[in-house]
Amino acid sequence: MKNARAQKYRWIYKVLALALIAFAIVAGFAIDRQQLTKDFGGESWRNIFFHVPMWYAMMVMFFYSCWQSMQFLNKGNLKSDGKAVNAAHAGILFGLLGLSTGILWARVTWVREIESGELQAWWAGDPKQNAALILVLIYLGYFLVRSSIAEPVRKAKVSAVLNVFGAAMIVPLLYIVPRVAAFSSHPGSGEEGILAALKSLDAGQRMIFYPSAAGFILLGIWLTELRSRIAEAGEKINDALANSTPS
Amino acid sequence: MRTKEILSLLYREFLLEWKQKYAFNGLLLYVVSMVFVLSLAFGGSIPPKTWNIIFWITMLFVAINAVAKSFMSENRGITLYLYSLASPFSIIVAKWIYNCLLMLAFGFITYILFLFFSPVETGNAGHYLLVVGLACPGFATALTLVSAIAASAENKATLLAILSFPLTIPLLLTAISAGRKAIENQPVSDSASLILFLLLFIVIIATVSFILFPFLWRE
Repeated sequence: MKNARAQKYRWIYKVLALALIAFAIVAGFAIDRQQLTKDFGGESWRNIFFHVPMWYAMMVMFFYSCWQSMQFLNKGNLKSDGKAVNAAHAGILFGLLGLSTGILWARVTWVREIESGELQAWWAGDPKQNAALILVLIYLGYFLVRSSIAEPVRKAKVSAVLNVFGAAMIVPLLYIVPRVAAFSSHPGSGEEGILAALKSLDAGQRMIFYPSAAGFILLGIWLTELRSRIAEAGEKINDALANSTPS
Repeated sequence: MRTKEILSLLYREFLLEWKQKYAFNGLLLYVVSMVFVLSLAFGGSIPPKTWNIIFWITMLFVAINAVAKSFMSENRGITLYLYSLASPFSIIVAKWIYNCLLMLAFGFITYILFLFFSPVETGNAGHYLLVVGLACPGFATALTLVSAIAASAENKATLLAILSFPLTIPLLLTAISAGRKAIENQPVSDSASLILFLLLFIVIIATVSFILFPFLWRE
């Protein structure tokens, strides 16, 4: 092992990830902002410390995955492709978590206007929410492409192309569509409504928000590493089985 | 040098289309019957807002039928031989230009057919045509690379549907909201941001496709 010493200290970032998330959970629920609680008619605003960092973690994972896919396309090393898949798995997990926390948050905060009045819906139909779902669908397509091609090199190539394509769609979908195609109720998209209060966090909130984001990103790196270790172990087992059968 | 290569590939696409007329005519028949059925279903008069929405959904299906097959319908052997002569960059650019032209033609044909079978107060027709002229190449751009990706996998039809919908939804939604503004006879400046978004979308996807296609091709 050439980086055995680096391996030795790997546990630090894992502990850090857990500590940061634990801190965010405790502090996020403990912090007292009565004005926000009054505006939101409840404590749902605390979701800002979890919902948004999950999307940040997803973006970091997807961009890292895209970077690895580009590496694979340039150099043709299947290891990079493996890293890309593992990071994409972590990314899609955070994407689904971000979607579900968003769904729950929207259900208690926004009401959907329908013809006969207002409806507390599971799907708020907010443009940013729709765009996020589209993004998640693109990445689910990525996994589908992977499972529909048997030959490893071709699978890696085609899916790497789709991965880079998907990463190129992240910024247009999450930051341009909600602003242009229709106005979203998410902060920074024109018609914030109730969430405008969360557009700029005060110093105390930021002290929780950024550690939480860092914690979720580190957790994503950990998940990626775990998946790649599982994949390595699987390969070793396969090799051992292949070597033992002839005798 | 590249330009010459691209032009000759483009010429080949048109020649192929001309020789196997069923592709274009089949699509034309598809559009006519779709528009006709829609006008029958609505009983002749469609409210302008609904008109706009079904126009774009029709365009989406036309795009998927027209563009998506662009990498699938060809004889693999002949294609391989021809393409060993040209660079992958020229191939994707030629395909892209051809698909854009095809979609532009079908955009205008569908527009005229819609007006023919179910006339509607189109408000600002120039504005509407501008949106058609931008969104149709947009569909073509998004679907060209998707078609190339799907063509190299095993269950092509399923993959195509799954990959193309998320990519075309942003375009479809933008086109619908810009089209609604045109139908409501609002000035072009009102949909300037939407039109800018369509342009940006085309530029991003086209650039990414041109960069990525050579990798797909090199397998």
